[in-house]
Amino acid sequence: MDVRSRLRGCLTADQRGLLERLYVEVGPRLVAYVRHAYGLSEDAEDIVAETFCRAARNIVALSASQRRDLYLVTIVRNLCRDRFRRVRPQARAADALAQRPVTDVQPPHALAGHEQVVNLRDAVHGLPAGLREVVVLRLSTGLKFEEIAELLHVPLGTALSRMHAALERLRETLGDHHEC
Amino acid sequence: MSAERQRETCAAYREELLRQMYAGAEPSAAVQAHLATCATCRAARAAAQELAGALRAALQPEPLSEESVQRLRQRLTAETFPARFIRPRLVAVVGAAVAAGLLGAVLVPWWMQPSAARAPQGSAPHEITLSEEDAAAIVAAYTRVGWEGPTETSLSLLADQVSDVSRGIGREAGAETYLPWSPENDWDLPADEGGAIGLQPIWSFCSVAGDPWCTSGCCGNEDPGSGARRGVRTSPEPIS
Repeated sequence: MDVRSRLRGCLTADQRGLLERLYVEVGPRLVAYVRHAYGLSEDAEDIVAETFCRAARNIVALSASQRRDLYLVTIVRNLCRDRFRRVRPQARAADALAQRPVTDVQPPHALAGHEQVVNLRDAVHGLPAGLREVVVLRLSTGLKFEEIAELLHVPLGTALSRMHAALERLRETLGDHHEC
Repeated sequence: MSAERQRETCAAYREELLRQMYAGAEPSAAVQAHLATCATCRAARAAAQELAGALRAALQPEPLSEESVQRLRQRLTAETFPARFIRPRLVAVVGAAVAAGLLGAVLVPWWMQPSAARAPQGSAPHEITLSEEDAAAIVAAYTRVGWEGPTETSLSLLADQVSDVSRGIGREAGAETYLPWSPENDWDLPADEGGAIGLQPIWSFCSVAGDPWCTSGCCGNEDPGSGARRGVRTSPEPIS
């Protein structure tokens, strides 16, 4: 690599500051996304750190982006998908985790505190991947539905329908006492 | 209205209500009118809001630890610099300043002289190119300086300057005499990693008489280093 290219690959103090600020602000949401949408709890921080390293390599694009959180979510999503593609057996295991029976999930009102949180997370993990991702993108990363639709390359109506279907399933799983 | 018809009506409104709720929108006028008259749908709405709230709480992100932020800093540093050039900040900054000063003091004036004066006296001219290691050292030095000047423009300008100097060294005969360090001298490494703190110049004479930037007095300068201390340059006579 020549001198010029190497220098241009380095970060300025401002760029480094931007990455660190985004890591503090957006990083937690990305970690939650990796954990809840893909079940990669142990690797979540590592994947998010890799996301920021990739962003550092494309720092000009990140700096210019009007929606930096969406930019970062796109990278982290690709990394998660790449990881599943590379490690197929583990991917199947993760799918199996998502598909595990959720019959032991209790209605929210029957539980309290940490137990309820675990219960709800289990229920979310039990959703089909497509529905689960929309729920997590909406509730963990805080993306708008328009952004979720763009990220998933689906129409806005489809993203809304998936959210609706996911919450319907969750309500069935968790128990709903407000039937018509 | 029959019970069956009522259920269908409620289901349609509830579907619309929930869609609007998930999208963060207020219920439409029609839905609000229905809610005002249907206790069942109001209860369904409340249940959906409760579920969404509970889910939001269960899936909410947790702040990252300071250790996590520190790990990212280290990783970014490792990814943007070769490991060889990672060292304590003070050593890096001092090394950068010395390297930049020498580059400016020695290489640029030499380059601006007539080509006949560039070759050191008594040495046989031969071609030399800046070694990859030396070029990398220059890059690292300038990069450290670049860190202090936090704009992309300054980095770009530095890149151009370093590139010009490197090209100048590479195409001039006898240029190795003017390199501010020997390839064997790991000046950019801390002493405890086998390097030398500061530069060990390999040239033993100045290219101009009474060079105010001379630090050894080899050129007749009676106050070595005075130029560097003053931070200004004069126009000494080239050695004929």
